[in-house]
Amino acid sequence: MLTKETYQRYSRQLLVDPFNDLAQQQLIHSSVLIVGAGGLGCAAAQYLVGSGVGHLLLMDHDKVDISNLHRQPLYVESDVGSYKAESAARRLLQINSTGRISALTYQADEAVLETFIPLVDIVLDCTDNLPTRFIINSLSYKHKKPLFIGAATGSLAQFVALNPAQNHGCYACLYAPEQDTGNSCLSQGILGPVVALAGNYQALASLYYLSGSNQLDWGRLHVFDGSKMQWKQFAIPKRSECAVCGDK
Amino acid sequence: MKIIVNDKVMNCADAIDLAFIPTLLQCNPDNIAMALNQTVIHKQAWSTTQLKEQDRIDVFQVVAGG
Ligand SMILES: [Zn+2]
Repeated sequence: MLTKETYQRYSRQLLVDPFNDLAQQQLIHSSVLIVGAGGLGCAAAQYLVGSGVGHLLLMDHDKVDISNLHRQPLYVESDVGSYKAESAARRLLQINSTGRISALTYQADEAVLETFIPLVDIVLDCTDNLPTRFIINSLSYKHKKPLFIGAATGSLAQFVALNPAQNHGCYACLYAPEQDTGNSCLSQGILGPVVALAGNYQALASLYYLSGSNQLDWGRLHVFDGSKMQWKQFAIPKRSECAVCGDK
Repeated sequence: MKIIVNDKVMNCADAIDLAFIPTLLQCNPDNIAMALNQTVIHKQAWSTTQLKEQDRIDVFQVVAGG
């Protein structure tokens, strides 16, 4: 049973069919790890916390820079120089103080991720580099956690939802390590609404999955090109020789 | 034969594989990913993926920023 206060707070999403009391209860009892509190993480975190996710763990070792503010709406000018995870957590608690938020100021390396990924229901990859993305993919598969990946650079955004329990390919079936282009937000720039699109896809798919209110199309790469205002979708097949998801 | 690359029809030799596409487009193979008929083909499989008439190839950038 939801309390009257809970009904009031979530009334507008409870009106969306088939999002019902049970869906809301499941959200309230869920836990989410967001790795990266930049443009993707800000967008995803604000909607997941607003919608009632019970425990959000937000990991980023970076501090807020003035150049972040155009695309990372959880931060304001007075946050510049503070840890992103801590500033974001303060802001998120102002949006919804009924859940738990853990601000993790660790660098997302293998040991740290190995500690936190087993603790949550799902993982959101909101990072900005290929090597960390490969580690998150491998550990999410190891611990059988659904993984919602967003990425953006310039006018391009990408999204993919991976479920280790299903038969599609993983992130290592999509890209190869040598396809690393470095920190593209430094070299190619990024538009705020473009990165927010990818972060919002991550939030929406997570919301559907955690609440059980919609079936997801797992293992498909969604590619957005802002210059054409166009989305495309591609299947990601499992590679039998893949070290992460293949038939070893 | 005719193939369709990023929604444009292109003419190419009959016996080519996917690994030839970056050369055709004059782009760095490490910066792109490719899908053949709406299915991603991993970079390791490009050179063993033969193309045929009317194949539809999407070339897109590897995006890892956030
Ligand atoms: Zn794989």
